[in-house]
Amino acid sequence: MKKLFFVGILAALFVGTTNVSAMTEADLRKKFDETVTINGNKYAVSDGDKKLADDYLAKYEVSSDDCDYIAKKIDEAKAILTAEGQEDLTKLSESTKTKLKKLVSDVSANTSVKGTVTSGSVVILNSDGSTFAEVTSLVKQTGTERSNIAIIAGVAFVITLVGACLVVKQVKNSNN
Amino acid sequence: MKTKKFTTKIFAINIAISFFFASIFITAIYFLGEEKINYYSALINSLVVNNSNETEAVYSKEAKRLIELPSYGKRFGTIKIEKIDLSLPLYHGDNLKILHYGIGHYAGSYFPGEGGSIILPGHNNVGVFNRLDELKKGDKVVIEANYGVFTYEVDSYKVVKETELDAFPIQKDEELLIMYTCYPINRSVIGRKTERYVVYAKKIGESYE
Repeated sequence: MKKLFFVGILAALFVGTTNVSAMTEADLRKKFDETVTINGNKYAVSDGDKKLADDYLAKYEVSSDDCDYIAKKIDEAKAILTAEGQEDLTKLSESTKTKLKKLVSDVSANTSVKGTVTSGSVVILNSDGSTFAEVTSLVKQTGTERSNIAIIAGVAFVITLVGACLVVKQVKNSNN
Repeated sequence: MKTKKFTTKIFAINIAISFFFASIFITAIYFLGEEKINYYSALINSLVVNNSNETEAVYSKEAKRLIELPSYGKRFGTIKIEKIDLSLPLYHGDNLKILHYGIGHYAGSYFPGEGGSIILPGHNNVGVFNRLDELKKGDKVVIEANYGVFTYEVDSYKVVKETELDAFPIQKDEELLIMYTCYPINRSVIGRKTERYVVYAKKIGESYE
């Protein structure tokens, strides 16, 4: 079974689909295990995002009204993904991503579950506006080459400017 | 006018020549002294980090889980690996900003003491995870969290593609520490690295005093 890459959206939406006081823990697990079928392929929320959702629900209770609203947005998300038909969820079209991002904004604006979409991640917020978690890819870039090349280029540029200005000053002085 | 044109021309020529030689000079300095540069960068970062306040996480021994998570982006402990002279702060979260200051913790994984996978990424800089590949089976890793001290023993290690998510299982059958960094760890590869060096360690002890 394939794992959803664009899980930030759905994880944020899945988080609010339960009324904790009405459902058992077993019901909750079943909800997170639900799949989306795109072109005959099944997709599921990753185990890491399920864990994040568990942690969020352990901290916050979501009302039944909010659950209903979020459930509708989840159905809309599934319809959007199915309509696009893109099996590689890292290659969704910009218009699809925009529609999915709007769903997160709608949930955030109309329920107690707050989140924002940034470049490359969905940030789930605490009730005080601080970050609860950033939902991104599991494996991070932990090399340093790009930053070091930038440092080299930056230092070289500064040296160049200083040197050039000194030469110009010397030329001006000699002409005067 | 003639002087101004001459000055502008001199300026432009000198920009090109100076940039060329400055680039060669700085690049040579960097490659000859990369280890020293990275060492002192890491030292400065660690000095900044050691001044930051730890966030309180609350652990329940009965439930074997945290009932109050550390704040995202905040330090919640220290990771120590005697074999490679490593002692670094451990942060909840693993975005790029957090990884500049120490070892991160993937928020979708478990915490020490919860009995599941604990995923810890770190840069391959000098003073961070640049010696991760020296760890062998049996080496010890200690995590001193603000709610307890946990000891792990290295069990295995391997190189994987960054897309091999099965190498980073989120499970709760056993407490498994998964540390990773970009590979190759040395500087022979230019640009973005697509492989990770991963070390797996199993819990062998805990103390909650």
